[in-house]
Amino acid sequence: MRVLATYNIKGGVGKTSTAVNLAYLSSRDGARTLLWDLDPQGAASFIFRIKPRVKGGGKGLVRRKFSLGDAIKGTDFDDLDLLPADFSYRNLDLLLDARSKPVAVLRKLLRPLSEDYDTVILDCPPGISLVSESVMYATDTLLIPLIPATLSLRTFDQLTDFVTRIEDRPPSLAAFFSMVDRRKKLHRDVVAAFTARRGDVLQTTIPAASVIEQMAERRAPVPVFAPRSTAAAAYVSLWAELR
Amino acid sequence: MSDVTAYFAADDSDPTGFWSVPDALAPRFSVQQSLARRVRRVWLDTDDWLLHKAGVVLEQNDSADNGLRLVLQHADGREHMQPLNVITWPARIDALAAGHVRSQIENIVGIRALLPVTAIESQHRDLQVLNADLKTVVRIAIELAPGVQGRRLPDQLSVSAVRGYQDQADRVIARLGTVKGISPVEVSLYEQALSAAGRAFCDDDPEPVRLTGSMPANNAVIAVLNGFLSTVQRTLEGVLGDIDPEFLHDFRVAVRRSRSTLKLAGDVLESGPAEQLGRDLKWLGDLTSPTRDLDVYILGLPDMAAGLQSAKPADLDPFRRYLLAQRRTEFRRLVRALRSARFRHALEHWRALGVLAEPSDPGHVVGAGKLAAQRLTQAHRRVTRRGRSIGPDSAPEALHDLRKRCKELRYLLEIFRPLHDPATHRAALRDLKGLQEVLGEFQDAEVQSQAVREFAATMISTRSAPAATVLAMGELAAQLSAHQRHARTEFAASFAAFDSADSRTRFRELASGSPA
Repeated sequence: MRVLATYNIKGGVGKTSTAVNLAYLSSRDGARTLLWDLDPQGAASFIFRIKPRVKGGGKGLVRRKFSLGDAIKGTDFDDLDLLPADFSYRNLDLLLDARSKPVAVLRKLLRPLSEDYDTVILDCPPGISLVSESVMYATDTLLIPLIPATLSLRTFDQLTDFVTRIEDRPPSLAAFFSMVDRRKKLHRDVVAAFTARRGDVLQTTIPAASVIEQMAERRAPVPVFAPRSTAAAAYVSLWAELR
Repeated sequence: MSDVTAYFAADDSDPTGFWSVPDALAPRFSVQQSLARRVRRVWLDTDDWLLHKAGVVLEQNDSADNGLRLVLQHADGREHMQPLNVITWPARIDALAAGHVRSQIENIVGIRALLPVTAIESQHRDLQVLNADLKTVVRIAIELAPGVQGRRLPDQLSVSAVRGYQDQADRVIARLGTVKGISPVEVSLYEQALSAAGRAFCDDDPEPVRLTGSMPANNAVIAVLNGFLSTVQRTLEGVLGDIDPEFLHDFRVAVRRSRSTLKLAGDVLESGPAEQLGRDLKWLGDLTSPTRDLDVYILGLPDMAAGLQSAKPADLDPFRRYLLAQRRTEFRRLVRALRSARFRHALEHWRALGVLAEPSDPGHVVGAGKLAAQRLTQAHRRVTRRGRSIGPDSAPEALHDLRKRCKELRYLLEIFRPLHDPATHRAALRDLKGLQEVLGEFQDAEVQSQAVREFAATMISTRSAPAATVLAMGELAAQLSAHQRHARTEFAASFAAFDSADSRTRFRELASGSPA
């Protein structure tokens, strides 16, 4: 079982749309895939028309009163399941903090699912917190959508520094540019400068496209309702790089 | 992922029942229907039903829109698919492309081939049952006019809950229960298709031989031989078709056990026919040995190659090719013999002997229980005597001879199993198996090591072995010799366990307690 997580300190950079589309593409390849919506806003759950509610809430999961498997819902797509968000996840930090080894909790929760899934994608809330740290300990690959702005470089450097300090199996980092508008010179310049400075950025860039914004309205991944769009092609290309 | 939770069939008197399903589910649920499409399903399993016994169902599914696919369904309803290239069944697992279905069944089926069990064709229609959020919560599959071998089954409907929506599926099932013209059925389409084809799960598993302690001993031996004959007849087609190596293995085991039965208890039969069958069985054993031995080498080669320290596994590729070529030659020879008049005559002798005899003197009939007790006691005594005489310096032949005596005891235990207390029988068998494993490893390693040396000599003389291959084969032979030495060091402890007071008591109980 391979665990990936979409993560950035900053919000609104395309974490959820990346998680949803990559999870769909993973399942379309025939891999048994689970998407865990860890963001209390529940955007990924909403896109899949699944109510953002988990029996026992975050407390039930962290204290292991309920198994993760009991909370999983099937989506409308073969081989793609979702662990919905719950509004109580806003307090997940506090709940984790009460445990003896808080950063190991998510990894332990995921372990029993290794027989059932080939790919797990975690859609994380923004910010640096015990939740994000716990995600890093549970993840094989951290997907970092970067918007083409100068501060993104700084964020990425900080994150790299943080991850390299994880002693026990640190995740690999896979950063890529998201919401790129090729018509804007600033975007083109930032992507070029960033790529020149750090060679570890993925080739694919996700465009700033209206079809991506339509996901919430159409309530489906982009390749389902706009399979020939540039955005769909970009997600396919991104998944091919990660696969 | 979804769980199949209920099946329904259309009543013959009202075949329009399925049309009213969407109305029956409204207004709580709405229904999206796919277009009907022609689907052909072929269910697959191994000859010994390994998939069924593991609780999974494997199906080849062919339809115009999805193409050819393998579909695997687990007992908990989880379903996995992978595309399938055109394939001819039976096929072994390595004929399938890598994929999620293959990865989940390869440990279950192992070296056994997948065979078509039954097939069905129908007009298939999918119904997605949506909740108020237009989320699919239940899936319904409708099979119209399903036909098996020209026989038409009633239209079928199956209900699957999407994971996490079982409560909604229960509501759907309850509503379907009220629809006129359809009725719940207990069995899946697979089971119905099997039944329509005149089959059932595990229907070709061998019938257990029924023995009682009071039945005449000659009839008991004949019943045992008949059981082995049916195995030989059942596996023959698989051997001739070279479907997988287990057919030949089962064939040989039946032959070997029949031979041992004749040797250990054949004196209760009419001597002429029994001796003739003994000669036939020896011929059959000798005939099948070369191919089976080569199968063992070929199947064991990957593990042995993985244990190489100095050479690379790829160095053994010419050896593998050589073994495969040898096997092709030996297999052709085997097939010719199994299609010969001599084999037909051997089967005739076997069948003729297998006619249950009337006791000539009912007043002096030896019962099967008495025979079992007597022969088990003798065989156990032979094993213990020979085992106790083996010391650290005994020749390898002494261990080989003990292995043969252990096999005889094992065969007797298995033949007379129906006469024994199951718990005592299991424990005695466990005692014996521990010793047999050590003796088997000791002798097999010696025989295989010798065979590898002989293969290497032949390959060198025919210039078909590069130096790297000969070196790798040398390492293999050394590996096997190390196994043999290891087994030799374990012999004393394993024999002591077999010869313990508890174990001896168990064998005494078996010999004295054969129920009438």
